[in-house]
Amino acid sequence: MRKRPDLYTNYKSESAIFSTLTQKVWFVLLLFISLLLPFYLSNYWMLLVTTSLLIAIASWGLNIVSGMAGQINLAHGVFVGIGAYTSAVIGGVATSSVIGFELDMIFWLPISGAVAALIGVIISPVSARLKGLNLGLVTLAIVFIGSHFFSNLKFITGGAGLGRKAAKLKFLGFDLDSGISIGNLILEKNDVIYYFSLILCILLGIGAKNLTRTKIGRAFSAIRDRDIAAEALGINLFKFKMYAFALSSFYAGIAGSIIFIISGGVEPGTFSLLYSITFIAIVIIGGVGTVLGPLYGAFFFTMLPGIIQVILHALGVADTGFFLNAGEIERIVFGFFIIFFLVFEPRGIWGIWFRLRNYFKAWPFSY
Amino acid sequence: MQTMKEIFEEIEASGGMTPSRRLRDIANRFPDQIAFRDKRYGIWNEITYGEFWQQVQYVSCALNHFGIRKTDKVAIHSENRPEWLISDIGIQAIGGISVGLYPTNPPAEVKYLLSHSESKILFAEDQEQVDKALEIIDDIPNISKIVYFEEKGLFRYENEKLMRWDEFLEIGKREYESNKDFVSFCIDEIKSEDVALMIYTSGTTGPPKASMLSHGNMEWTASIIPDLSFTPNISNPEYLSYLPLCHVFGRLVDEIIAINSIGTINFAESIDTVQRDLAEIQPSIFPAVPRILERMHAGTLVKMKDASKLKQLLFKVASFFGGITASRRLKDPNDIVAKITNFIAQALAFRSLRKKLGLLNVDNAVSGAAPIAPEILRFFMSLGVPIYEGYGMTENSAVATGNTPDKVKLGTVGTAQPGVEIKLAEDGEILVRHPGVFLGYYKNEEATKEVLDEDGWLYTGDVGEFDGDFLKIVDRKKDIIITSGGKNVSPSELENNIKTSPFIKEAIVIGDDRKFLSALIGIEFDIVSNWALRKNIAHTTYRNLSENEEVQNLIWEEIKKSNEYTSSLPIRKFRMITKELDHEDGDLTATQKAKRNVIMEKFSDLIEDMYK
Repeated sequence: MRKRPDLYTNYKSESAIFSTLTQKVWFVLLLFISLLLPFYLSNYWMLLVTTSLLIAIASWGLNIVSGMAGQINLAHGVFVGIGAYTSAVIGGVATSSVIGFELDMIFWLPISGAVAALIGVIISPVSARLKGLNLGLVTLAIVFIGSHFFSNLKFITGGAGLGRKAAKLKFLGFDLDSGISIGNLILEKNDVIYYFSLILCILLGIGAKNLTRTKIGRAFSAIRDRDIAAEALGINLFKFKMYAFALSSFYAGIAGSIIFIISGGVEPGTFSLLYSITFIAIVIIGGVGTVLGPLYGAFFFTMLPGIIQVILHALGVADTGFFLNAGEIERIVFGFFIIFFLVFEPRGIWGIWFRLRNYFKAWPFSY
Repeated sequence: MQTMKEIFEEIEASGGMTPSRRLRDIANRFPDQIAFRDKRYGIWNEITYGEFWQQVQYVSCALNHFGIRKTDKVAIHSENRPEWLISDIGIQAIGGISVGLYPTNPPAEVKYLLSHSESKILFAEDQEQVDKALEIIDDIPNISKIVYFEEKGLFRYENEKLMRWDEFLEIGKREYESNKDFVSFCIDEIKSEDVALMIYTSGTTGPPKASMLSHGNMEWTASIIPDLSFTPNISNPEYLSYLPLCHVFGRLVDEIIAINSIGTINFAESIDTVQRDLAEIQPSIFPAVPRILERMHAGTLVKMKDASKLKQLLFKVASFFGGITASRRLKDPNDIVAKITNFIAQALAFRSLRKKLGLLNVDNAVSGAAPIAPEILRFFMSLGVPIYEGYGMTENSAVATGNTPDKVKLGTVGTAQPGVEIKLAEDGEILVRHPGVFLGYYKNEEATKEVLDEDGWLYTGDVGEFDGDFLKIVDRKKDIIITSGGKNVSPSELENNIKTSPFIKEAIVIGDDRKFLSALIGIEFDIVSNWALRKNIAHTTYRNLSENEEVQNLIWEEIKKSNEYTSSLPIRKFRMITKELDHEDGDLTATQKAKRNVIMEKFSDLIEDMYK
């Protein structure tokens, strides 16, 4: 069989997640590098990598509902917020103004995902009734409803402008907030978060990839490509759109529950429309409907500020009076990239990779 | 598992076996070896030799149950699929005679073949073939049962003669349980002189004739497999079955060579997917007919035109080095320079190209069944595919001559295969004698006498000449053109030169008793259409495109090109055939060969127009 890589004698091998040896080798190699990363990178870059991983998880969520199932969702950031506040309530410390139960991560992590998923399910009937622009408008409304709740449910969120502390990092009874030492190995809090994020990223990434080859994933694609045809094929639109929103929100909830532990606190103002748009941008820049795309997009998005800073420093205009500050430049560059990708490479960074791969795969032909 | 070397040594030591005996032998020794892979819904399902043998026994028992005895005929009307070979060997195992029909045979021909062969049972593939049989069922009372392989569309048919394949096997299984040694016993009873199968020659003139091939013919063919021009350098026996099994070439490769070499036979999903299936299977032995090779050649050239400039350039460079490889290897197969140029060409483009064509693992490819232009062979040789032309025909079990890596000359069909005697008659007709020569035509003593003399020489009907040891085929004896100027011309050579052009699918050269040569041309629609699109030439149908003036200019340029490297007279005029030639309309034989006399008559107005 070694000489015949394309010969499949059963469906199992045909639809394998890693279909070639090269892919397996790359995966193991990447895993190995990822495990060693904290020992070589500075704290600043580690934070960026960790954030990228978590943003990638949330982006996968948006990709499931928008990229795979084709339902526009402008309110993805709200679900990240729901995850963040759920974890903060269950795993955070109670103060005079906010409630908190200081429970273990083993509780708050899945519950954050579940609560976000539940809210997703609750709003999913809307998508069964509306599509396209109309659905977009309704999800836009959800952003404002979400903002309103986040600002006013002060006993949960701490209120606008103030916020609250994120969940405590306690896992199976171990308090990890001050790091942990295993033998001679000392892991700081950020390293611990990194490893948690890495594990979650791998599990959920494989989950997203796996989804594409399941009945549910195929139903999503059918709905995305033509909802009427999908229904004619016997796909229950209501049910599968609900699944799409539930799964999507679950990913967002999980990502949200951890992401704010890095900075320590959550402020309701974070979950604005811009925050939700960010995820859309990441998915577009990375590659809609693909699994690797959002991962690329997340890294690109998270690393961009760092890179812009480095460039500004190199040009010597970082602190002096340049007419734009770093944050503004960042947003301009980001906006530029969104336009660029939409116009020239709608399949995103993944699309560039795909074209590059196909250029060599089709050798010596062009198709 | 045995290596190819051990398999060949064993064949050399113990001689060849008829397929049913060899199958029993393999099933007893290596029951888990994969016999078939059959692509269904994107997946290659595997069937082992053990299962193959089991099903053959069920078929034999069921046939016996339905009254098939020794020398009774049973017909098979299907595309290539495992059931084809299972039924075929099942028929042969109990001494029956199997008759293969082309899937494209229209009802009228089916009627002729079934009544002429006096078949008693018909294996039909699916609704299409069952419909053909039912249309003429009243005229063929000899058929007592029609067993179909695929039920789709047939479950409402009510005819007491119809039976599902699995029902048929179920009966066979029941019979088998009551007498497990029956089939083995029958196989032991088979004698070499018994008729095993009848192959209807496609018949470019007159009704098809049934060539009777015996078990002895197949045993002999099997015995020379290690030295046959098909098998040099074969490392592992993977086959793709796509040549029609009712044709002698397909039968030789898939039934005799494949089974005797304990090979795996892969069945393409359908005729349209051969190219893709080929790329998945990457077979090690590739039997090819000129039509397939011409299409691969044309397809490659056309797709290269769509490739980016860089890729085109690299392809050109690779072709340059490939050309050197081909010419040096033709002189010496182990040439060092050829190894280097081949390495460069492979690295630049040809390795990936061969992978796309499905020829990456090909240890040996053979072109046969019809003459091929040397240019096409040279193209494949330059890709690094070891491809060699062979020559054979139904009447001599498709074994006569072949080129091999050590002994090759382009433009010839090679030297005699082991054990084959060849000589030329006074008029240049090729005579062949060996133990694989057929027994005669069924129910046609007269025709048999015309081609077989008392000494066992077979009159092939082909005119040839010797170029050293190498045999060169001039043409079919009856096709040779004598112009009014008295010059002898071989039309097939000219036609093949013209067909080297990717734009031309059919070419029929005319000139018998005329002042100059002319040709009727049929275009390759897809490729010309692609060309026209690029040139912004609007077109609709085949006819419309053929009649387009710019297309005619294109074709004329192509003909002028082929005129340059022809040794005989040039083509002066041509006309377009404005319809696609078709088997059902009687323009082509079942093997897609143009029926010269039918076409000349059908398009006589075009021809007369050229000579006005």
